Formats: sequence, C-alpha cells, structure tokens
Amino acid sequence: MLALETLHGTRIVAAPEALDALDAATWSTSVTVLRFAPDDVFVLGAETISISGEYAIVEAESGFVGCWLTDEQLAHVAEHIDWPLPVERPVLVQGFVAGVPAKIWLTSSATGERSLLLCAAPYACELTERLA
Amino acid sequence: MLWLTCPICGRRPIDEFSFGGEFPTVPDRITDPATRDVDYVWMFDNIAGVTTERWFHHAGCRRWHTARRDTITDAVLHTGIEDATDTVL
Repeated sequence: MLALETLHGTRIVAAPEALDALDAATWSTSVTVLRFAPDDVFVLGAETISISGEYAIVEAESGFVGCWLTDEQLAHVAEHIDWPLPVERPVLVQGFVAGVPAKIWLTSSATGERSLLLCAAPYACELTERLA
Repeated sequence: MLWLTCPICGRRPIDEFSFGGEFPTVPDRITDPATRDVDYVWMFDNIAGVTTERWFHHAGCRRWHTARRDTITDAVLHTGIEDATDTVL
C-alpha cells in the first residue's frame, strides 16, 4: 500500500512569463518544480524563491500528499490510468488515477527514472484504497 | 468513450472534464447594452452541428478551455485556452 505523506512546498501563481523563467532556472537536484498550469507552479525542496512577476502570489503549500514510486509501483499505478503515460522525461501528467484527480511527476536522474505521485490531501485515503 | 484534448494536459477522457456550456456570442443587431447582457447570459443557440463550448478540466490542470465540437458526430475539431471574453474562431 502506498504511503502518501504531506508535501510541504511553495505554491506560486503568477504570469506565465514569470513562471517560464522559474521553470527554466537551474535548481539543485533536491528541488522539484511542478508546473500545474501556465500560471501555477508548485515547488518542492526550495529554501528561497525569487519571482519577478509584479502580481505573483507566493504562499507555503501543504495541501498535497504524495510519495515517490518505484518502477513496480509506477507500473501498478499505470494500470489504473485510462490515458497513456508519455515517454519523454521530465514531464508532469495530470488526470484521473483510479478515478481520483492526481498528478505524476516523471523524471530521470543519474540513478534512473523517478516518479512522484501526488494528489490533493482530501483525496489521499481514496487514492490509497483504490490503488491497494 | 469521448476524448477531449486539454491544451495543457493532453488527450483525456471526457469524464475528466465538466461542461461549461456554449461559448456565448451576441448578435451584432442587438445594440442595447442591457439587452446584450441578457442575450449573453440566457440565450443559447443549441446548434445541431459545429458549435463552440467551454470545458473545465477538473481532474487535471483545473483550467477552462474552449472546444469546437460537432454536436451531431461528437467529433472535437479544436481545443484551445482562449478566454471566454475573447472573440475566437
């Protein structure tokens, strides 16, 4: 059974141009930048974030839960998705996983491919039970 | 199953989306601002054929987008992230 834990990060809503720069910046390997939408990004593991957008909203976010998946777990999760997972990495995919709104961050590193499954905290129990 | 292509997330089943109604257009012959407002909110064309609609991707990016759909064949001809206040297509 997946152990979904609260993800403490920073949520930024800003003009797409400002977030493009944030997205393209070079981050340390411990930082994960998840672009939910052109004007919405969720950053995990960053100490400080500077954003140039005049009307940017930057707030601490702890409303998501998630866990890193092994290859076997990802294959199991993929069986509960109606749409095909993309081949390219890194990529954030969003949609129903076992009928629950969720997101999967698919990335690759020197040690191999990594996948982060996350969803809004209120869906945590439902998603865990459906993937059990 | 009907599929829609979200401009942000890609091709997804229709049950990931919420229907937001027809993309409202007001005929030019209506010039009174109050009457135009009434027409914008309440009058629907209910076209049998190609129509422009708003869809909300609630299971993914949680953004509205616009789709051109043939209501007879259910074929989706175009999707985009145009704002409802824009004049498109």
